[in-house]
Formats: sequence, C-alpha cells, structure tokens
Amino acid sequence: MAVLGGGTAGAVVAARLIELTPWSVTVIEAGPDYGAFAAGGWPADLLDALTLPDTHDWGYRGAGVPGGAELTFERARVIGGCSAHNGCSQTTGYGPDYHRWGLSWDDKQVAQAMRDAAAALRVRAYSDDELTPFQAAAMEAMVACGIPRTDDLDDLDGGVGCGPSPVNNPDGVRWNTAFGFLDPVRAEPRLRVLDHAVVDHVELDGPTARRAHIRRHDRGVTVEAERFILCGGAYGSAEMLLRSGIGPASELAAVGIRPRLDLPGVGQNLHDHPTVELRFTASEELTRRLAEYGGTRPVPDEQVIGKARAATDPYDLHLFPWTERDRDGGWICVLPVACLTPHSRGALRLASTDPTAKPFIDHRYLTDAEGADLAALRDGVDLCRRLVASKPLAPLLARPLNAVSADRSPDDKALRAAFGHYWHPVGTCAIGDDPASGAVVDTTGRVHGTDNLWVIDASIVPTIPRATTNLPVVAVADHLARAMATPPPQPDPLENRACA
Amino acid sequence: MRLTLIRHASLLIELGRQTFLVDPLMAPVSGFVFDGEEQRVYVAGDTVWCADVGDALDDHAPTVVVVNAGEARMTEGDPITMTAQDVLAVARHTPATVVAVHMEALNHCVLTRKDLAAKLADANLDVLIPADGETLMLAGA
Repeated sequence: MAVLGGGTAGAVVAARLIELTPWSVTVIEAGPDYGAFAAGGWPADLLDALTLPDTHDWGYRGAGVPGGAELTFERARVIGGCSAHNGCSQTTGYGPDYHRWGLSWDDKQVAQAMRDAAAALRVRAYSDDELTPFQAAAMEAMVACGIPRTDDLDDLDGGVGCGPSPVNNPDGVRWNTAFGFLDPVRAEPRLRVLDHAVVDHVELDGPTARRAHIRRHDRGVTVEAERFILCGGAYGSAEMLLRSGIGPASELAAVGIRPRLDLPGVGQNLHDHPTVELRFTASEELTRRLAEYGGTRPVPDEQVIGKARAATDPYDLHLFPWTERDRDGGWICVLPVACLTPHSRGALRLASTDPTAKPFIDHRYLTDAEGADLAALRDGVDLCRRLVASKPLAPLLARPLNAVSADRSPDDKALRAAFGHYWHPVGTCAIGDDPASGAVVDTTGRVHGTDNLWVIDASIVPTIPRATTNLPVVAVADHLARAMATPPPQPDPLENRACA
Repeated sequence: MRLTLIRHASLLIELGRQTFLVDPLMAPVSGFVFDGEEQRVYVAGDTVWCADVGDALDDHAPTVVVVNAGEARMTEGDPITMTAQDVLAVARHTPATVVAVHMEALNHCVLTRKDLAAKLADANLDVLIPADGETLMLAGA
C-alpha cells in the first residue's frame, strides 16, 4: 500500500490502515517528517498554535476575483500537511451537507466520525475567560447584532450563533494529524515514511496502477504497491492525477502528457469559501488591553467564530475575527466574513509536466451566474459594519485600512479589493457516479476506470461543507480508510444452499 | 531476513560453447535469495538465462527478481550477463517483479537501457529498468 501525500488526510489513512489491516504502508511525503511529537524534533513555529506559520508553504498562487489581485494559497509541505500550520479552528458544519456527498454514512456515523476526529486531534473549546479583549468584544458585538451566543460549533444540528471556537491546541501545541494518528503507530515496522519525496506520476497499465515514480534529492525512487491512495489535497492530488495522464484528454495532450484515462472532472469543480476582510488599526484602548492580557499569557490570533444567515438556512456566513501584528509591532484587527455556500467553481490545470512547477489555479471566485456569492458577501459586509459600529467593538477599532472598512456603503469594487479566501480548497477530484458529469472517484474514493487507485482527501469533497474543512477532511478520510479495511461481507454459501 | 545461496551451473557449460576460455574465469556463479517478511528477493547476479535460473525461480518463487543485464562480454566468447532475450525469458517465466540492472555504467556491457526497454515494449512485458542511483521501494499489500 502506498499513500502518496502524508498531509492532513494521508496521516489519517496510513495510520488507520496500519491499525486495521495486516498491510504494510509506505507514506510518500514531499516535505519533512519531523518524527513523533515526543521525540522533540518539530520546529517551534509549527507547534505554536497562536499564529499561522509560513515556513513550510508549497508556494501556490493564482487568480483572485476577476480583475483583482493575485492571491496566495498557503498549503503546508510537511507531514501532517495543513493540519500542521492552520488556524486550529475545528468546526463540524451543518449535518445535512454531508449527505449530499453520496457517501454511505448516516447522521449517527457522521456525528461519530466528527467526534472521533475531534478526539484524535485533542479538540477542546476556549473558555470565555481565555478570550483576548478583541475576541471577547467581537463576540459581544455579534450578540449585540442579533447573533445569539451558543456553544454548538461542534454540533451538526447547530444554527445561527457565535461562541469560542473548538480548537486543537493542547498546552498551546497545534495538534496535527501526524501527532493524532501517525504517532500511535510509528513503532509498527509495517509503516514507512519517505519524506522529501515528490510524486512525479503514477504509472498505469490499463486500469491498474503499477508504480509511482518519485523524485527525492534529485534521484529517482520507484514505488511498487498493490494499492495507491492519493492524499495530496485539493491542489496536489489533482496535479498527481493529471501528471499520470488521468484527466481531461485534450487538456493533457496540450501539456504534452499522453492521456491514459479520460476523466474530464480532474482539476475542475475547484471551490473554497470566498471572504471579504474589513481591517482596522487597534485603538489605544485595545492596544493597552492587549498588552495587559499579553503580560500574563500568549495572545492567540483567533478564538471566536460566528455563524450568520444571508440567504440560506440555517446559516451561510462565518465571521472569524483575528488580530495580527503590523510591521511596527502594533495591532491590526481583521473582521472577515466568509460565504459558506459558494456557487462559483474554478479549475486547476497543469502548466508543465515538471512536478516542481506550480499549476495554474483559478478559483473563478464570485463568477456564479446568479451573483449569489457576491450577494452573500455583501450581506456579510453589512453585518460586519454593524459589528464595527456596535458598543462593544467600536472603542477598540481606530483607523480603517481599506475602502470596504471606510465606506458606509462600499461598492462592488471595494468588496473585490478586500477579497480573500478561507484556505479551504476542495472539489478537484469529486465523488460522484458519472465521470461524464465530472465525477472523478466513486463513493469509496476509487478513481473511476481504475482498479487500485484511490483519492482520499479534500479534493474528493464535491460540495464544500459549512465548516472549517480540517475536521471534515479528517472525518471523511477516517470513514473511507475504515471502509477500505473492512471488505463488504461475502455471501454465505450455506445460506445460499438452504435457500436453494 | 534469511539468505539462501543459489549455485548456478557454469555459464559456458550451460551454453555449451568455448568452455576452455571462460569457464575457468567465471565459474562457479552464485545468486542469492533474500527472504524478508513481505518480499522474497532473488538477486541472480552475473548469469545468463539458463536452467538453474529457471529452477531457482520455480523452487523459491521470489516476489522480486534482480537480474544483471547489459549483455556483458569478455574480449572473446559469449555474453556473461543477460541479453535482452534472456531478460524476456525471465519475465515470461515468473510472475515476480523483474528488475534489470547492470547496464551502461560498465564498459563491457553492450545492451543499453533504451534497447532493452524497446524489446520489452515490443513483447508487452513489464520489467523495471532503474536509472543509476534510483531506489526501488516495494510497498506491498
């Protein structure tokens, strides 16, 4: 068994297969494997859950909104993947969203998968007295603007509300999937992790994946296995399939790749939660209060999430305020709003056959024909402006830093200029029944038209959930790995005979 | 891991030609079988395709076979490592993963990777031909 990509999902899949099967598992990871947490070899910035590190970024970039600035799409190149560099918010989203994926899980199984994922990641909730002055004020502002205080961000039946976010930061450590899943099985000799190893392509012989061709320290490594599972994420898994000749045939030929399997959906259906950010400098009062808070404990960037409704029940917006330092050491307060139900779809395509070359990424944000995404964000910005003007928050904010923050009625140009994303790309190898309609994998994660090649990660998510995506990706990876380890029951020959 | 020594017959006795020149230089020829927990690897070493190699494949049923190709020659006589036809014979004889090495880096090898790959493709046979320095991992399962 070869797991190609040791990120958020790959660590889960590899560990679960080691635990539940007699198979040997080789994990191919492009970045470093720093070993078990207990061995003490991890760099401090990846462990520090207070802020977002940028030292292990893949370097993806691409189009933002049409006519807008290019955006960076940070993805972590390290064992544990983005779970090793993210904001540590672990929300479950809205339950019915997960039934639209076509997987064989019912409400109870989805809920159990989320609980299992949260337990492995050591998720807890911030208590109110842990909130920074800015986070506490932002939450009070949400309540003042009609968003009730709740503690249901880990409840699949939850609705509109706000509260401290579930967070995976035991003792201040960002508890990534390598710690939560791989560490308990690292002593097992059937598990091998080959780090600093970049997958070039998977070699197909008809419907069968024979071997993966890897580059490591400028040398080739060929990995033979009976099964291959791609876990490279929404960008990486699509890239690996395309380099293997699996994708839209005409698009592959244009890059000089011989098409092996014409799957028009590979790289398509790319989407993320689009955001708009209001930004302000901190007032003197907030600066003083943050200094007081920071005098006794570290200051986390983000702690509170609000769920609000623009157009879709029960909610379709996330508010996730954060603070960051400016160049002079002062504080910047950011009030972002994310549209959780985006209709716009983009695509990823290869620029080259070279596995070190970055692909063309265009999410085609805010391009849906109905304009629903922009309309939702406009409602969200209106809500943010009410937060800014509210009694709890107004005294803490000083100078607006962009037009959408300064104008009472910002136009679409101002919204587009403040555009961002929520770091939740999904959809490029979508689950579905019909390859002609864009499906890439079946409901087990197996690539249509192959007999031993799977994709299990965020890329198979056909429609993004109303959640921060880390926890749902862990849950679906665990669900599909367990299914792979548990073959369907065979007919009982005695029973058949009795029937005859 | 268990290691088994495979004694191949003298190359030239098997081939039945020019015994007096090369046999004293080459024989006895040995291969090895490495028994791991998941894989059984037969490293055939310097040999051509012969009955002893076939017997070793039958007796030990390896999962991986590493053969020295290159069609290496002394200044006189027949090949002392596998020709393309020999590699094809091995691949046809065994369901194991066949790995062909021992090409191009040695100046007495006349068979190139490219030529071997072409002959394998013509025969629709799947044999790994790693580049110099390349690592082959067998992930099993």
